[in-house]
Amino acid sequence: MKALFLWIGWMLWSTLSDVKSQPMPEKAVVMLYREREFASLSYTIFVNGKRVSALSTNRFIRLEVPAGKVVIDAKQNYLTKPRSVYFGAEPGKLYYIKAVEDVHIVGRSLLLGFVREAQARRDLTRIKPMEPETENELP
Amino acid sequence: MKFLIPFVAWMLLGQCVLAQQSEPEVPPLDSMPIKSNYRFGLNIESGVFQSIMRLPHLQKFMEANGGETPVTADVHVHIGLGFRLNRVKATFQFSTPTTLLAQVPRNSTKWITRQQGGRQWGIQLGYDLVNGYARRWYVYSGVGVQSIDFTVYRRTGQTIPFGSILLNAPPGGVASLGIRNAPYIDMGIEMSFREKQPQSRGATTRIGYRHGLRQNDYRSDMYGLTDPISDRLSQFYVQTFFSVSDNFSRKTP
Repeated sequence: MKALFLWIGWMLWSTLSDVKSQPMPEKAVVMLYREREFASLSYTIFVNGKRVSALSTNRFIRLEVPAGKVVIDAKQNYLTKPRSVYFGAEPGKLYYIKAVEDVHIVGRSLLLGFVREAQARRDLTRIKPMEPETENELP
Repeated sequence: MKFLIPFVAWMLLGQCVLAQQSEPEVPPLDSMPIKSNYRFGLNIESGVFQSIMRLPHLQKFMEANGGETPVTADVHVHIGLGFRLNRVKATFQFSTPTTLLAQVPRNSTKWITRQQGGRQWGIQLGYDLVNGYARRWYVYSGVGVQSIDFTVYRRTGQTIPFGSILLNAPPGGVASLGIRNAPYIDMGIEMSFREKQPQSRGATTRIGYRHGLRQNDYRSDMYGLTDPISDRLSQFYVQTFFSVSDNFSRKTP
């Protein structure tokens, strides 16, 4: 019985000490990418309402998003329909989101959707990173 | 002491359950809509196209005889029927000019050549080089025939009773002058919306060039002509139309 108490005590202590020793990351990472599309527009990406970058065809961007509820929007101009993706971001986790331009008779939009890591890694081998924007381009 | 063991176990289990409940919503994987893949489709199209044509011999003839240069740009209306099998598309189309752009100078006393009509039909075969999520970009080629009709007249300034209009035809007027059934080959590019539903609607744009295969003699319904001048009917065009398609045999992704 004593051994059992010792074992339980050791388990609790080791768990708590692990939690204390490892700092909890507060951010998650999103890899947002577009494959090559012919004659398509570049879209502006917003995270929780804040503009973070543009995203062109055949480019990816790495976004650090706060843990918790996250909204990623893709907009272009008044002729394009804004599209969003909502999710709960876990700290330290990596998410892959693929974007594809959809075109209709009266407008276009950038569809956003989660993809599996294996597929995203295959896609990303052919895709270049988005060039960082200059200070003048940012709002 | 015995009650302590279930209590500790309950504490550990509770922590696990609480941890699971406080986990944020897990995003669904594979939420990106897949690209549609209908193997076969029938489509009907209807729209307009703007064309511009060169008729150098007719223009030279009219200028040499003191006439206005004929306007050879026009807007046509067209209808088409076609089918698509995987990435290949075939279309039969018929068009006729509206003569909307065939306006002539109102006060000129020179000979005026005004386009009166015409027709055109042909078939096109295209292959979509770019097969995207939302659009297909075809390169196409085709064959067909086209006709064009003019009226040649000169203003006299006279006022006559309507009843005697048939007795007062001035000399030199040609009520019907044109080229009939001139064969051409057609080539161009087409951008159309991808069919995403069993019944899809979309808009399509074509930019192309029809090249006349040979010089064709001018004819008239009024006279038999000897030694007529001839022109090659070639034209650039920009075509925009709406299309409706029925699509079948969706492949499983």
